Amino acid sequence: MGLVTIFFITAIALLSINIRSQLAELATASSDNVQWALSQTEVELLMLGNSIADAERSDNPDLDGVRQKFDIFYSRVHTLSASPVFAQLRSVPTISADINYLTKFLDDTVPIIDGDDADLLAALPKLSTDLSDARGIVRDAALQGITHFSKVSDNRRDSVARTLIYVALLTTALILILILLVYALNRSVYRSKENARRSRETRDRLETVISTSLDAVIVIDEDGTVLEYNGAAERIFGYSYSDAIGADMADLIIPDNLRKAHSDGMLRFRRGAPARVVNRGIVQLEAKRKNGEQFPIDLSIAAATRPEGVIYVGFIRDISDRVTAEKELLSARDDAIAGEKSKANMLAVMSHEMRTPLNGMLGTLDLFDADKLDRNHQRYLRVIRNSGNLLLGHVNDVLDISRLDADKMSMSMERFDLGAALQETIDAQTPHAKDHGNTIELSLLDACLHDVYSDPIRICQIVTNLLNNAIKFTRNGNITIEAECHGDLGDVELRVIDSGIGISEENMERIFGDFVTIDSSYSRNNGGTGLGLGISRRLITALGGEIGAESELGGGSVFWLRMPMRHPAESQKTRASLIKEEVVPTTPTRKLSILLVEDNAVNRLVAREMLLREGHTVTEAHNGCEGVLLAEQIEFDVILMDISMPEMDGVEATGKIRESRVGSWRAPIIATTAHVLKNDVQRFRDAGMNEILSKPISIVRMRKALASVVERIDKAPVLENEPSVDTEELIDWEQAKTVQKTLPSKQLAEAIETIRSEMVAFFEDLPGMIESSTDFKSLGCEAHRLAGSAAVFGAVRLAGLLRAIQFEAENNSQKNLRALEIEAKQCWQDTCTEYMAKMGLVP
Amino acid sequence: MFVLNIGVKALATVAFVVCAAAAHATDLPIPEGEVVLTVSSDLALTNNGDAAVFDMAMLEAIGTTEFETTTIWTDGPQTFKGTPLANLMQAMGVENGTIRATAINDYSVEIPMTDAVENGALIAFERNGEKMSVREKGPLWIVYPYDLNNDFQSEVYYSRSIWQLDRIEIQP
Repeated sequence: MGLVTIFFITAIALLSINIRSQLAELATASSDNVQWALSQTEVELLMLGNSIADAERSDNPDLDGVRQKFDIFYSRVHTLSASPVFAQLRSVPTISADINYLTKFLDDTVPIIDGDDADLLAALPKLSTDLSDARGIVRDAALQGITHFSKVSDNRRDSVARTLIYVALLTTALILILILLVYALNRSVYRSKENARRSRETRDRLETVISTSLDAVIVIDEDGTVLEYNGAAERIFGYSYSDAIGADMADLIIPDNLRKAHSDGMLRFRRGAPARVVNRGIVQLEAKRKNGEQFPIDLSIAAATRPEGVIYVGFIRDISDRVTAEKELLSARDDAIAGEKSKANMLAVMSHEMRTPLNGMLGTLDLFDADKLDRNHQRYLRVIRNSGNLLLGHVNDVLDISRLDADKMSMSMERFDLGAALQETIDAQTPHAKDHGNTIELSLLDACLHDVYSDPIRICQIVTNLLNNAIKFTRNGNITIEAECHGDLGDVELRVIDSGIGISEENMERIFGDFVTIDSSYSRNNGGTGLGLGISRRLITALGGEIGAESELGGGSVFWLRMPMRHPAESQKTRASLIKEEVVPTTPTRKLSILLVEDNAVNRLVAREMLLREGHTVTEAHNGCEGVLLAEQIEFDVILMDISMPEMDGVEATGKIRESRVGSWRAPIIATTAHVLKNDVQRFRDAGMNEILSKPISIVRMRKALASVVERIDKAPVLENEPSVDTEELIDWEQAKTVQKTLPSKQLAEAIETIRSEMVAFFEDLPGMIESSTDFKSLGCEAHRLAGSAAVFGAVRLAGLLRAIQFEAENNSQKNLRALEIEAKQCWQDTCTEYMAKMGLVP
Repeated sequence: MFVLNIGVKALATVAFVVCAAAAHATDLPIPEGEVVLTVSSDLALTNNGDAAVFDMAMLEAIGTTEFETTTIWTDGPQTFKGTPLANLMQAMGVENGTIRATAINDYSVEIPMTDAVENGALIAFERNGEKMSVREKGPLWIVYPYDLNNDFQSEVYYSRSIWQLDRIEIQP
């Protein structure tokens, strides 16, 4: 642009000079008035002619006048021929010829003019003639000159006009360029102003952001000197702005113990090592307040290069509250997990602890020789067994309620007689119903219900629940169970109808919830968990059915179940497999030598009795260690191994036996356990167990388990029955010492004396009580009480025997009581002796 | 080049003439040679009726100067010698008015009094050291020092450069 402008200005200047010179040319007017000169030539020639003519006519001719006119003409022509003004004119050939002609004429005439008067007078006529010739020449030259000079002046005007046009064009162009320049300049000024404004705005905004930031913003230079320090930083760190600016950042906010790490890190970073903090996002660190308190921060640092050097911008957030909250949350979560764990543990323990007595009860029932009992007793026995099984079911259900909620409950479908199942349920509840003056009736409306395929245990559980409720809320009334199928087995309906107090509308809505108990004048004595209907609802849902109720306060209630069942024929395969499963060996397998590893005395007793009845020889081990020891010494045909045992459990014991490579290491091992979970099965098998026998142990299941492993039994000779070595600890000395430490010696002595006298009295009365067989209930109670006392003082074996007595008493087993009586008495004496010796006490 | 060769004597003569003119209105000498210039006006000084006539000697007596210049009518530099118009006007006691100059062929032109100054119009009677004949635009020719001052190189001055001058009339 500048160059172009300079070019134009130069061009205009040159043209201006040109114009000036042209104007100067016009101004200096190098030419005289040429036309004037030419016409004057003509005039002066005419005047010469006139004066000659006058002289010719006159008697006294004025020859001086002629001479003067000649001289004037001469001077004019001489000017034309010599003056530079007429050079251009002379360049026109015709004019030049004309002038030459005139000059020659004049030169020829000069001698005559300058001669004497007479000659001149005589020459006048000829002169006149010559002049008339010259007049034509002069005329011609004048006309030529006019034409020529008008051309010349035209050209000059054109040239000036052209130059002026050039100047005008150039000037216009220059003005346009100047306008453009001005515009461009304006724009650039505007732009730079705009930029300045924008950068000012950005700066203002940034300043606002920094000053109002909730996070501390600290800017430092390479040496760590604080350059910027905002309000949030003042608040967080406690230093004022004036304190902080110019101070060393490390001194201000870096905890003393981290300062070296900081300076090392900065040094490393400056040497070009990869940054660990700078530009690496949010880092959690510790910082220090003015008062010395250390606290956790979120830190984010960015490095920026400026002309003065590198600066670091740090954004810092005080996260003390967050960290505290996180810790609290973490501990709350840990507590919750621990709670869940302990709950799960409690359920597992409950399972074991509740199943153990059930195991005993149901196992003992199997010991009854049903054939020897009359019909009534057989029925009672059935009632007991049903109740026991139901109870076991309840225990399982409480455990399974979570599994139900998680859809992990599996139904065990089988073919059964729904009518019979319902009757058994009713039978179990009849005594209870009678207490309330209620009668229970079964009304089976369709014969096809005698042969169905479903889950009898679940159905009976639900019906029992409903019956219980009906009994609970009915006094001296009738309870009816109706069963019918609508069309086919795909839609079976069971109704439990009572004539009780009914349920109010508001309660109807919530009775199927968990832990719902309806307060009534009757129910106070009954209590209950309130889980019954909740479980029932879940169970019937799991069976693909539904449950509902209709009731009116004071008008009785109807609880109905509707569920799909299948006809046994529709599930041939399943039934076939079931039947196969149910084909239990009716005769015992061949006689086997069996090692029974079981820590629970009652369970051991039951299992032992069952095995002995089947004709097997039994060696008992009271715990895992003992089991391993015996297994290594003796080669058994089969080992029954309890899973849950203190110290060494069944899985560990199995592993040790398999590893020992002596004695019974190749014998089949059957796991006996109350809780069988799917992944447990794999665990047991991995440990080397061959079969699983779930507790409570029944004759049927035991035969099945033994039959399945008997094929694997080596034909190795069965060893003779080894005497049972009862190595259960007589006294738990740890427990004994704890009691001794806890109680003052005087009280301890008194307590021991009390127990001793009670024990003596008990063993004195025992034979009589067993023989009379009338008061087994109070015998059981007493045995239970004494078992507790014995356990407190560490007499564990005695306690176990007393519990066994309690068990047998409650089961009215006179025969077993007799056997136990002797064992217990012996144990009592041993305990006394041992106790006295070890503790230095007099029993 | 303008050559200031007006001698002290010449100046003294002019002063004398002026003083004499002032003292005697008619006391202008009668020309002895051929009259070359007639000055007519309401003049204080006369020698021929109302007019004042001059021969070459009288003009020379008023004062001479000479300069070299080119002209558009001649070829090459020319040296002109003559009486400055200013001297003549001073000699005639004329201070205001317009000078009308007329040539033998009756060419006539007005010359303002402002040209009658030093380095202004010159009534030349010699060119290159010789008297000028009528054929050579003589005997008198008003010229300007064209080369000295560019202003003189214009139509106006060229038209005022009257040759074969023989009459001057001072108009009020």
